[in-house]
Amino acid sequence: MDDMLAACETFDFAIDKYHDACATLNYYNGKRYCVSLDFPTWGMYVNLALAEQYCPDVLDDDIVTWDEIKAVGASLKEQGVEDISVLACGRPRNDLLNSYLDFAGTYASQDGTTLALDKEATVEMLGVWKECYDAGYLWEEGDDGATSFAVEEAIFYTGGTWNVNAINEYGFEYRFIAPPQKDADDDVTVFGASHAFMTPVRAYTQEEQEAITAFMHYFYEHSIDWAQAGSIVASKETAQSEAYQALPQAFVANAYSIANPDYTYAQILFDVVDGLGWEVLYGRMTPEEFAQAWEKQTLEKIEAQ
Amino acid sequence: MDVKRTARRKMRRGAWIPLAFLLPHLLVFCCFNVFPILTGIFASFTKWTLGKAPIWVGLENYVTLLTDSQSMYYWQLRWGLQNTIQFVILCVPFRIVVPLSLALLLQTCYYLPSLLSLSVVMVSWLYMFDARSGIVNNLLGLGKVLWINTEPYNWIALILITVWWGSGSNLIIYQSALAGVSMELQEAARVDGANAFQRLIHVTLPSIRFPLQYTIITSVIAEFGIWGQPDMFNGGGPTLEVVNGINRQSNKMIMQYIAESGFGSSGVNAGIASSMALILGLIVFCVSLVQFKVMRRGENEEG
Repeated sequence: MDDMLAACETFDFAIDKYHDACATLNYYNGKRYCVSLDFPTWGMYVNLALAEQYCPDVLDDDIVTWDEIKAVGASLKEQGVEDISVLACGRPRNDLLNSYLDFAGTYASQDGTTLALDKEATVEMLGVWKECYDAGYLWEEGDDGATSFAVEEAIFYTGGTWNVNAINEYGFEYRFIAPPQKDADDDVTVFGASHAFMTPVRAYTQEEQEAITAFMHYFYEHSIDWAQAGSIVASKETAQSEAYQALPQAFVANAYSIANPDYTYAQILFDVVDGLGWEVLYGRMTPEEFAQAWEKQTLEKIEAQ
Repeated sequence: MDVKRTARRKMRRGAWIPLAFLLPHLLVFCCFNVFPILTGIFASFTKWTLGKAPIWVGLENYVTLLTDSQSMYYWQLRWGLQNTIQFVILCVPFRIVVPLSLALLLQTCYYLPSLLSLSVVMVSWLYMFDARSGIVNNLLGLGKVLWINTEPYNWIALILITVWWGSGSNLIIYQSALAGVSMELQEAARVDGANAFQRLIHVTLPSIRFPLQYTIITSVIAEFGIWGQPDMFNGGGPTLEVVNGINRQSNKMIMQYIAESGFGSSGVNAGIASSMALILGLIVFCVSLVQFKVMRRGENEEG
């Protein structure tokens, strides 16, 4: 795609016009192979009224740590509040991968080709989740996280940027921040992915190249519609606009880094987590078994490729 | 001599006509049945990710599936088959008894669920079985029974949904078969003092023996192929145990493992998927053959 972008006379697709994450994500072996459109990103919705009532100080630094989750949970128990959980969750895959990145940092070798799961960090991370679940601070098995948050029975709810419009319908004030973190002093990275434009490898006529670059240029300048549908945009021009900054997800885009799957077999790794789900929390698997299963199943599926 | 030759020539000339009538069906049959079956058999001897050319590996997939206990596919085949067979054993009797009872007692409106698509059925039942807000728990005052992810409730729910959804076709067959049961025989049995149950066992059921045999065999085959209901209901259900890093799920069926391996969003392994499918196909074939033989023997003994 490098040549096609360089040949475009009507718009400069320079990488610094795009979200910082694109600087690594759009390149492979030093060549640009795609142009990012947006970053659907994982985060945590906060019911501001409930937060004000039960944990007014917890949002002071815009970061909620696991220790704070535990403290709020313990406080709710002390007050005898039974019908409100501290945290309700969306999809295990995104929650656990986000937590994993927080606890372990990476799941692949630096060149993105070899699986390098940190099983110790996985066990530690799951231990924290399990401790909170067993203490009754999280949702109960069988509850739907989105419903609990919608009926104001959960202070925090982990979800994606794509949930923004559904949550707008709930009719209460909320904020969108990073999911629970291990340490408030660490830099925060949220788990995301990027929709991007790519072209099949073949020769393109002058007319085709112009049409493709015009299309991508159009999206660069009109990303606000895309953002309003629930996304973090790649276009810096849109990101700096007032309309975008008023959106709930703009805070996440401004305050944290976005981790993109730069591992060749990321999809396999993620799907295996999806299959294992919340089994550790529900007591059907130990954290050690989860870590072993995650690595084993991922490796075997990779081997078959 | 000449007359014979002319007749033979005429026959030869006309021989293509039946073939021409058969040809369209044969072409479709070859394209959509024979070719995929042969491709599946071939694929079962390869390592194939669908995107690239298949690599011939001989019997390796079968050796893995049948002997390599360190491989997840070995366990997937075992657990998938085990769950599927358990489902067939638990579900098929209801697939026969329920529509038969409905056909004897009630109306064809019970055919209606069969007209619904699987996704409509599953989404509706998922709402109904929801632990907190579902109508089942609330209406029956059961508290918070976890129908979707706890044994044995997940099995009860799955069988209930399958029987409710899938009984329509058998019901229609039984209704038409029952309409053909001889009234004279029923009358004669009544005159001889047979009660309703005795008439059912000794007159009605033997009279609809062939439709019964047909529905038992087709129901068994259909339930061996169960996939959509558990996949949409709970994705295979709760983990029961973890062996060698592979988690065994309560109601994950063999077809789910085949679909996951063959067409999953990640880690496509069409060779293993085809081998599993072929093993399943052989098992279904053998089970059907045994059923057929047993039923035939029953007929002969009666005859």
